Amino acid sequence: MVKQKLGSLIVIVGFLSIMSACVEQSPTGHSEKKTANVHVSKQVEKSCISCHAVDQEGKLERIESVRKSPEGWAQTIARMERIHGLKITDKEREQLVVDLSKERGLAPEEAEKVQYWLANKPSYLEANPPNESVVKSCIGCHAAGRFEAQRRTEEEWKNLKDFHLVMYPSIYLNHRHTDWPEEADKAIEYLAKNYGVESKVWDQWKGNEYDVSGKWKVVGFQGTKGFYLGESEFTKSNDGYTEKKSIKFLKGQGPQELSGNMKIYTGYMLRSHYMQGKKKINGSYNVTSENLIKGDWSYKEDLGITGEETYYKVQNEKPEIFHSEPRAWKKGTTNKVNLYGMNLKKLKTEDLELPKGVEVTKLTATSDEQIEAEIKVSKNSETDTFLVNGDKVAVHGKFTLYDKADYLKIEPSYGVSRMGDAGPMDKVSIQYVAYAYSNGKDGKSETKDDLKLGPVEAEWSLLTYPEKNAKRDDRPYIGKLDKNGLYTPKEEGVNKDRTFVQENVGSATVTAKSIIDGETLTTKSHHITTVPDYVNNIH
Amino acid sequence: MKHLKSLNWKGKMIEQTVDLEKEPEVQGLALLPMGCTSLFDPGWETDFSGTSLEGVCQPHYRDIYGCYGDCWWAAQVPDGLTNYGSWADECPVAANDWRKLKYVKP
Repeated sequence: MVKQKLGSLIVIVGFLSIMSACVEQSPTGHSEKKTANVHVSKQVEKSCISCHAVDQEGKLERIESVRKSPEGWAQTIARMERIHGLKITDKEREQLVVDLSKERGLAPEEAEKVQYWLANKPSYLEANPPNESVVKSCIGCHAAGRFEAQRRTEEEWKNLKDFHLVMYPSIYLNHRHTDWPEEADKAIEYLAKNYGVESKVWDQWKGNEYDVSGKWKVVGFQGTKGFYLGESEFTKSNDGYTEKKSIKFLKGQGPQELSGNMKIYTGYMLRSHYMQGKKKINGSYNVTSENLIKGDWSYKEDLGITGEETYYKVQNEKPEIFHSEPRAWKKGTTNKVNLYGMNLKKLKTEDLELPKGVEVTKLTATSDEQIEAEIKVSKNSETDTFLVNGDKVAVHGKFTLYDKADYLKIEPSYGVSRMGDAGPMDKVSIQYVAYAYSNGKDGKSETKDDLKLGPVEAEWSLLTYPEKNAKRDDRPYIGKLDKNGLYTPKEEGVNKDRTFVQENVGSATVTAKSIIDGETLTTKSHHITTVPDYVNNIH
Repeated sequence: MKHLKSLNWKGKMIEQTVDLEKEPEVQGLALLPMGCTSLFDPGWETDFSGTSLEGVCQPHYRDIYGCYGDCWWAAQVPDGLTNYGSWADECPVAANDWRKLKYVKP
């Protein structure tokens, strides 16, 4: 034991001697740079500079050649701790994420494109990146959002390839259907060109920060439960904000109370941790202007229970409409519409600038938050989406004029539910929602001009997969689809009632049937209940 | 696979269940939701069909150390090669102790 300690001491002394020799041999310009500038922040210098040297351009190696989201930086720091021996306290770790996101973060425009990934939306169907090599070398394993939420210099994109080969050497084998190093080189060209570290939007944004203190109105949507309205108040705390929120579903029981803490990163990214009774809820929001916050939330212990929310800053000056039930108005009829917002008692019919053929025939404010309206839409009005303008009113979101609901679509179109709850792994449920669509101007379905009319109530059922001649029926074992479209999987472990040695996994076809204006519409989507995802991060 | 013949009744039953000649129904991750792998050998969330699980290992924990030790689906299963060498320390026999396997946070 004494010999071991003595050996360790010799190694440490030797290492320190080499380090001090290196410092002495460094060009003086480097040490001048280091004392003259703070590299990212004092915490970053304290925690990172012992490994990340200052390069010839005066930048902290690697760190100052990339930009990432708070989630991206948190993962990088965790890897430094896990593999490279970084020792930091919880407080220091949090400070690092705050500092790096502030100095080396994403601009709002850059983050908006990957909000689905930052929010870890379950069963989200990403578009394929428009580069075949990126498709071949990257997204067989993980989402495109992972790299699209980063900005790097060309050298840093090249380093990312080397990183993969060292960290995950089996990439040669599990990508043996392609020449991974060659494809990765081509992918790097594309990424360096399209996701470079320099950007005007970042230069414009860096250093700004929103103050979200005060009262807000909330509009949200949770699949299987529908739209809800609420009120929220943000109060500044030592390291961010505290929030108290009260929400009520338009079709549901009394208000639900939430409270939580949130931090602001990069001046506009809010990350919230709520308690709703005993339920833990995580939120990922972006402040998009002084008066608007948009984002997503999900249950900590079931990512599949999730919703979207928009916040509108409370003001007393003029009427503001932020939700309409419905938003799609049928042509050739008088639509009964409920408008939700604030200061609505001040709203007059003539304040609303509507498209040709659309006329408000009745406007009754039942409170400052709600108006019951009758809106007559001529048969000759144009089938399209439109914005409602007006100097004396603020109206958010698009409205739609349509002839008829022609077909339904289910979201998600491919539901991936995961078994869980038998051990530490959480189950992942799915909230299936049916949306009505109109064929649009061309009268043909599944074309670009089709109009999404909104969520509709539906009758839900599960069929076998495939529907005809299925070799087995997984439905009795894999979970349950309730009358509102909520699918709940079962737990892991062998189910002795099944043929072979099998768990509660399998496939099924989800169907939704809805009667709209007397016409019965049906649609289908694919469903699997599968194994847990042990790497619990955003992909 | 066409040159392989099943020897026992279990193999024959599997042959009946899994259509080995079936063309893949999904090409690439684009048609699978975010977070799922499209490396189908045999596949983590789905088998090569992209839509069902006939060809994947069941129960999943029976072969999880094959995925873990070889770093096969590193975005879905912790890799034992470089990142999470001690992930399975509390679970020496996955077939018995799989309930102890935990999430990792990169």
